Amino acid sequence: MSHLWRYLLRENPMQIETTRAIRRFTVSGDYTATTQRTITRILFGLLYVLYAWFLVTIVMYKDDMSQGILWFEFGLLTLLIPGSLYTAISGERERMTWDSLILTNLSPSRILAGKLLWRLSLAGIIMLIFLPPLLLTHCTSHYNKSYALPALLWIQFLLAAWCVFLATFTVYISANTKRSVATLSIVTLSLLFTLVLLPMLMSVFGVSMTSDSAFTQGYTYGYENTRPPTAWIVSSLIAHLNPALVILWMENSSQTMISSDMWRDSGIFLIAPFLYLIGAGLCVAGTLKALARLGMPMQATRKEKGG
Amino acid sequence: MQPMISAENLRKTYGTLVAVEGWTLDLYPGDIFGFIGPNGAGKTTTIKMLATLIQPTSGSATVNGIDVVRFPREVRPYIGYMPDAFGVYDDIKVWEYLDFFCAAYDPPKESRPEIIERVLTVTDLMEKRDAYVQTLSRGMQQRLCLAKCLVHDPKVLLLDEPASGLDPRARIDIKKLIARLGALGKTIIVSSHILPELADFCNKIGIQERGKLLVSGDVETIVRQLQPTRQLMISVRNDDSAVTRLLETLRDHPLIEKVTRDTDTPYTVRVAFTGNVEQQAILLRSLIAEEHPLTSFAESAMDLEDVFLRVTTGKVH
Repeated sequence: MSHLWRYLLRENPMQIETTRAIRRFTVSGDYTATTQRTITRILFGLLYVLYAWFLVTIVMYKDDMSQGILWFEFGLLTLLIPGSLYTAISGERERMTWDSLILTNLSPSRILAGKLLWRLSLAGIIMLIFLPPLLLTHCTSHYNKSYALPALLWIQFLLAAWCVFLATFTVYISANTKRSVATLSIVTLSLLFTLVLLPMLMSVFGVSMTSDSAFTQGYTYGYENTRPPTAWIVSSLIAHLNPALVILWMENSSQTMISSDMWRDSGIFLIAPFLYLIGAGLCVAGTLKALARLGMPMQATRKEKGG
Repeated sequence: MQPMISAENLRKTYGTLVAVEGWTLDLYPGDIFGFIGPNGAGKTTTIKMLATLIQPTSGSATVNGIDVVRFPREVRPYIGYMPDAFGVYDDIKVWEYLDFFCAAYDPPKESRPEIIERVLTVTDLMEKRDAYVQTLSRGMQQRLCLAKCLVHDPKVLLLDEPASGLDPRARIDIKKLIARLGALGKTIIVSSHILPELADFCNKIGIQERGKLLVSGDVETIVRQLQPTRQLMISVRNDDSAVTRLLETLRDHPLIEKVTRDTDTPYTVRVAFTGNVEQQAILLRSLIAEEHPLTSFAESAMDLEDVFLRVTTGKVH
């Protein structure tokens, strides 16, 4: 285990990615693009303001802000991880550093670990930063608490697993596309589809996606007496693994409502983090395979640039 | 002696386009092979096949006796590859960049600083040790790329257009650097479409056009193959009668194939001489003995440019 730790993390030359990232966002000097640094600082500034607002609201008004914080945290991580990883492999190929990389002794697992390390560390830091206000709002709230403490911690675990899945999925797509813009498009469209469009579509077909399911009723709309088609079942399952909805459903109030949804009744969303981790494992395996393939002499199908 | 690089009938096709065909070559330790050809001749494709980055359609190649197609990972430690277009990682310093590549070849950790010092010295980048890579000029980035190729002390260097896009001073610097590496016993393939770049320091050349290696070998042998006679330029005092007398004398000489009055240089005749250097000396002595008013007697060596123009047709894919 310690050998693996040394090999993949502590003595992995790809740790230079972390150095580069830290410098890009923090170090002043004339070597970094000023515009990029300014935009980054403005974004971070806005985050500081929002974070301060959360804290002030919690302390001054004793409101339970946990759901708002959790959704914000989820949204931030969902944007940040693909945004920082979509160039991971395709970017190397675009800026023509990939050939140099594969001619070294670096194994695909080391390359992958190096690519994921700082991004997942950053996600972890963000989650840690949001943990104190979450606990504070939970402890100081005057009114009914939105979440039981175990549910709150469980959602943190869910978000961590979501981050791992999202990161590995983005790298997988990046390893299988030649252009970073293609990677970003595929990941963005996949997220839009699974997080927004699919739940909307399933709602149209009778799957209740909101906590007021008592009003919408019925997951078996149109299929009352027959078994729903497999595609319907799978789509419905994917829609129920949406972290934003899981955050919603784990709220105390929603548990008191009469739910008539088959997945929610079975508590399937409770295993969501594990399914994310399984998905992440599959993405890692796929990425390692793609990197191994990219490291071999290519059966190029078009004329290479140059003479 | 086992060749360091050996290729046998390498061929690469892209659909119906034949990029490289029948590429056969043996290079030995210390050889600096100038790989000349116009743009689109297939130089980059050939180099990439040797660098284990592209799989040949057919044929075989070995580096240090190891098959580049069957065992690419085993071949790579012996190769330093500098692509014609390359990128560098931003936001890191020169020494960090080199340390990254050095570490990526898994040498003992304690030996890395020494290796970095060595390659920085060889490539004259010591002064820029702590500079950020994106602040380096194009010429310095070329040298940094070359330094990166040297961190694992490869036996073979594959340099694809290393001087392209450089100013004259940087070109001279990179040429000196390559010559220095050749002197260290490395086998180097350096491609270019600019002839004077290679003429100075390559002991072997190959001229490629439309994917085919038209000629290859050491410069002198190729020149001899293409030009079996020695071209002598003999000038006399500014006097037409002296030129006429010289032409008459030379026409009767058994070792002279052809004599013409040179149109570019006045009072000069161009001679196609079939003899060797000693016989050339005897000819000079006899001309002096016959009191021809000679002002110069010199062999006009065929240069790389002449060779290139002689063997290529100017056609590209």
